[in-house]
Amino acid sequence: MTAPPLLRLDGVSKRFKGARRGAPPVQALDGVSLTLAPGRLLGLVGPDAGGKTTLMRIMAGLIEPDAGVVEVLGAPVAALDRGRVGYMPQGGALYAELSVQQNLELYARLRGVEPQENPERMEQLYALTGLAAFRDRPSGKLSGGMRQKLALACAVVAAPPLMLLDEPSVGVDPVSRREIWQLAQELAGPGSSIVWTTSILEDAERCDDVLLLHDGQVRYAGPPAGLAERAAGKVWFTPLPDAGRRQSLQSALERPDVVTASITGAGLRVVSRTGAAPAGAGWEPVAASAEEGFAATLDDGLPLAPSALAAGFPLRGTGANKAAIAAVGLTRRYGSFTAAQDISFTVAPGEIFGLLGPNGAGKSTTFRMLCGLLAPSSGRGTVAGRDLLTARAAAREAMGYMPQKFSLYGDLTVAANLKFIAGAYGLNGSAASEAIERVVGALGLEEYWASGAGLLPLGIKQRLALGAAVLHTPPVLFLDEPTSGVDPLVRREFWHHINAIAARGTAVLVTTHFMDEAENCDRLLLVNQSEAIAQGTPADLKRHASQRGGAAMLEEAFIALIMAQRAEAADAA
Amino acid sequence: MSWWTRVKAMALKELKVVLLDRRVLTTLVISPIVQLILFGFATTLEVRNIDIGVVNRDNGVASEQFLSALAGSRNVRDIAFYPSEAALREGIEQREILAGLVIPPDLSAQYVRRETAEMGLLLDGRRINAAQIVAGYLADIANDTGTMLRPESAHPEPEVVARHWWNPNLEYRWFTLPGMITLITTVIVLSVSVQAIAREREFGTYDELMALPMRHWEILLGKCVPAFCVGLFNSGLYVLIIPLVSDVPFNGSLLVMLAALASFSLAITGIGLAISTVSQNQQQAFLGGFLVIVPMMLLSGYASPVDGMPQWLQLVSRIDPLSHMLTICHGLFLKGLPPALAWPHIWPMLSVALIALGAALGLLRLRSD
Repeated sequence: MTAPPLLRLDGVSKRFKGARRGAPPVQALDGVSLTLAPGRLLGLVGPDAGGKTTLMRIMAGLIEPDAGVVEVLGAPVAALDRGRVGYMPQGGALYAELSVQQNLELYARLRGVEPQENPERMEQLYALTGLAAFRDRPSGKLSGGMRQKLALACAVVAAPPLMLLDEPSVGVDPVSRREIWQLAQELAGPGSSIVWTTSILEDAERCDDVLLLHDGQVRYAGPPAGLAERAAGKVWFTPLPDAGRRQSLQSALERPDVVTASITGAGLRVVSRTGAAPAGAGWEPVAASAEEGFAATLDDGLPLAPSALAAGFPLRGTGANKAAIAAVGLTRRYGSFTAAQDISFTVAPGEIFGLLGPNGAGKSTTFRMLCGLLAPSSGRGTVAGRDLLTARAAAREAMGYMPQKFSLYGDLTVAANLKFIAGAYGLNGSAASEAIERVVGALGLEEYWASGAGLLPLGIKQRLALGAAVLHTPPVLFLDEPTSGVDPLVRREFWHHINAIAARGTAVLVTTHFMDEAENCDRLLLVNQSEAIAQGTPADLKRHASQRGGAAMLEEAFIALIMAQRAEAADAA
Repeated sequence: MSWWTRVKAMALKELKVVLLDRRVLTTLVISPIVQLILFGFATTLEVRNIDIGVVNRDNGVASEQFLSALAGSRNVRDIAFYPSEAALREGIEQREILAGLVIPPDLSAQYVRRETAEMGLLLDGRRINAAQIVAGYLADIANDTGTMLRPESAHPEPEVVARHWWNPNLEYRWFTLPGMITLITTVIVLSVSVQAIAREREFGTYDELMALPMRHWEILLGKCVPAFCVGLFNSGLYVLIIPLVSDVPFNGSLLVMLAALASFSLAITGIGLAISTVSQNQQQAFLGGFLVIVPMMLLSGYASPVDGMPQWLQLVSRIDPLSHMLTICHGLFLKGLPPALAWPHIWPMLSVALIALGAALGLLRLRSD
């Protein structure tokens, strides 16, 4: 006899009112059915605004579906004992001013676990999350990875049989992502099930089952291998020389017979629309990944058009000998703690420079010093030849900045936000409306024009933020994790724009946790424990790492270099 | 003129943020009008509806005359008779009555003997203001009664004949309603302006703002606009409404009023922005606002006359924009204050505005690094 399912949905539909009066209603879910057996791990994937979060909220009993049956733990969801479901909303629900311990104990009590009476469970949570040393730190001051771990621990403190985790690994570095993944499995008791939404298909590959939602409908349900199967026989690989990799990617993406393409390891992978190898020699068939299956499933049949966003940029010429961004010995200390130590690099016009490193390594500190948001303790930074401290406004005029967290005005509409940013950059009258029209058209924001920015799906918010950063076609662009939380198709589109913008002579400084994005950069700087530990092209970094143990893939190089530094630090101590 | 574009963008954005929120709109437009009506009638210093207890031990004509005059006063609601002074005391303690009169048994006899008659008066000292005023009323009534009964004894000494200039009938509304303009405008302008920068910090939009090529003064100037406009709009509305809905006259020049209201709104906006720059979130900003609003109101002279304060506090009150605005409001409404006499009250407000905005600018610069 098989155990009864923990979760059973049948024909669930949900429709939301339009954002404004007169706007058409939004069909968030349209006849979704699924069952989840005990002990299973279900990955919920799909494009942004595909209905993932709505489905999670319905399963948690927070909103009622318009139609269909929802049974949780064998009973209708209306009769659900919420204490038996661990729900972690997107971004967690932590109190930033409370300490780690206060947050955890608050949630424990709310879920009926008295911390004093269950010391083993509390200790287990501290041990597994690695937060034991940070008990007294306010949760608002934790690094992104630690915050997600704490939010996860708070959601599952009572070891519920069903865990609903909405984007637990967004904005987290590869090392922490693996740890969060393990954490969720260790925290779940035997026989408990996890539903996990993610926009990272690599995460989905680790699940038992995958459910792909698009426009509120189930487009795929089954094991991850089956999703990869959708692109089977269509994926081709060709090795690339070290130089001109980005340009090769760009031209591959714009070909009508290519669904998607990415730089991986030493070469270029493409998913062919017809299945046949793309034109040219040197292509060999390779096994498909879940991400490629995802792309093939959601393919709209249209080739990626040349970036209209980049077309508005003046041609500035690339590789000029004058640095567009220069960091000279940038150091930032907080009391006795050094957040960034003597970091130096330059970025040439037209170059894409990647800042890599784990959460809390000093990457953001470096980034913020270069954007002029943080004054360095010593050293200096220039943007387009202008000093960030002495020519504050002039330096800012030359740069576009896209922060990690959405930082536009949630109360205002998309239109009002863009008008404000345009005005803030001194764009007036027709210049402003032309710039706004170009950005809105290129990023597909027309249908959100009059919507409040705060209520947009994550991916749309990111598009708006990118649009705001490039309104004034700056010669220097700062992008802080531009693609965190957006689905693979939007990521591809983002990089398509970024590459095209760089090709017109804009220098781009980008931070990312995705290794395929790092592969797309011209040069990389790896930061760990406040220091720059390696700098060079992706190939350089891999070569550098291979002397210490070998790495064909950038992610392995990343981990190897970080481990090597940790070991050296341990030797020195 | 790119600075103008930037300031305009900032101002428009701030206006949208403040005015798009329907709750804010209610708070800003409807509630001030309700407040004006409520405060206009509630904050009167006149004591009406007085309940008085009487222990009457005199059965003669004097007490009869006095009590009927008392009952006829428009300020007295009820006269209750008590058997003894102990009962009277009990009545005051229970707040049944505000004052107790003890009429001695020989009152009428004293009157007949042409002696100076005396009555005992017990007052509730917990309600000191009302008690003092009631004592005044009662003394007047007693005097009048005496004069009526014995006209030949009336005032051999010179009498003070009071005439209340600019408020001939001594209507308290004439004092309170123009004063309310100052108080309500302060509350509204401050509650809008303290949010301006604290909101950006709380919602995490501060970083984006700092990465934009805006000078600090451009940010501040743009952020002045909503609070300033809301202040000018509301106070202007009051100036127009008050003569319409009440009998309070407006005798001054509207232009002088406009200049004064603008300087005043700017001063309060500046104070609010200075508080906002040091606040991490809106909660702190609101608390900071309360921290200055109460002393400013107390020092303004609205609740208690500035002349009664110690010398050093009177000096402090001279830098309180509320005290100047209050003077101008009363001056323009009741007596047509000429511009030359309004100016000595306008320039201190402008100076406060300059100093506060300067402080806000300095703090913003300091805290952005």
